[in-house]
Amino acid sequence: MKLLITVQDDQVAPRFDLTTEVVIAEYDRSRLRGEPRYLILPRKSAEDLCDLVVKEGITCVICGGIEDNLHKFFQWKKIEVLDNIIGAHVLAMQRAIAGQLEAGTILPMSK
Amino acid sequence: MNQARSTNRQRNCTPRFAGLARNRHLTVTAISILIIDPEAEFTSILTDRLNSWGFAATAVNSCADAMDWLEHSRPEVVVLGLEAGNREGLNLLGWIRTRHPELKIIVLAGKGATLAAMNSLANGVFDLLPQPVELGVLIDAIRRAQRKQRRR
Repeated sequence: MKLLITVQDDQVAPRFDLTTEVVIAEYDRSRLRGEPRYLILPRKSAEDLCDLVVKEGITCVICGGIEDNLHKFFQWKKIEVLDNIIGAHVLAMQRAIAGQLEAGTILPMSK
Repeated sequence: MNQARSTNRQRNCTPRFAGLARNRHLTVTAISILIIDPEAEFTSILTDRLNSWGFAATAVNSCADAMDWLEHSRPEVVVLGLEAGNREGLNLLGWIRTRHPELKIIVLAGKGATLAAMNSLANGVFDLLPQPVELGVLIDAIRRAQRKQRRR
């Protein structure tokens, strides 16, 4: 399993299309495999980010707000989307890996 | 016994992110880096991230500013963003190689700029990384460049 979280200032980025940083983590049976990878995107682009999601073989996207057509695209590609997440991206990652994150979850913000 | 086993289990379950935080404090020598890229938001985030890892990064968003900066300061490593069709970036690369041949340059190749970036390798570039850039890979390249620079 491979997840991608949109990041802004250590929180889950509020908008998918305005994301400039992402973290990608692989996990298996609720355990992280290797170190999470932080990628800094050269520009804000929903299209480039979608390309990255597909190219990396992401199975779950964790983000704040996302456009309906992008959500549908990921569904069509059988990629799970946990959207409307608010709070620290590290907490979102931990919860997702533990299988305890749902769309719309509000988490504590990172300091 | 049970308590000790439980403590060990807790220790084993410590999230791997803790390692990232620990490593952050290991970087004590401030390596000076100049980041050159036209995208101000990108350079701002990259500068912020590198500085939070203990580097001394500065960013400029134009070739003229980069030339001006390099006339007065000497970074250990230069990180240069190359975009497709950006002649300015390639010209700047040539200028740096001529004026400051000792500088270690890491090129970040943007979409469609792979060929230009590959040619830059022949122009004495230390490393070539694809965009979007992975922070861990960039940090590793910077450290390798700095080690080589200090060995000179």
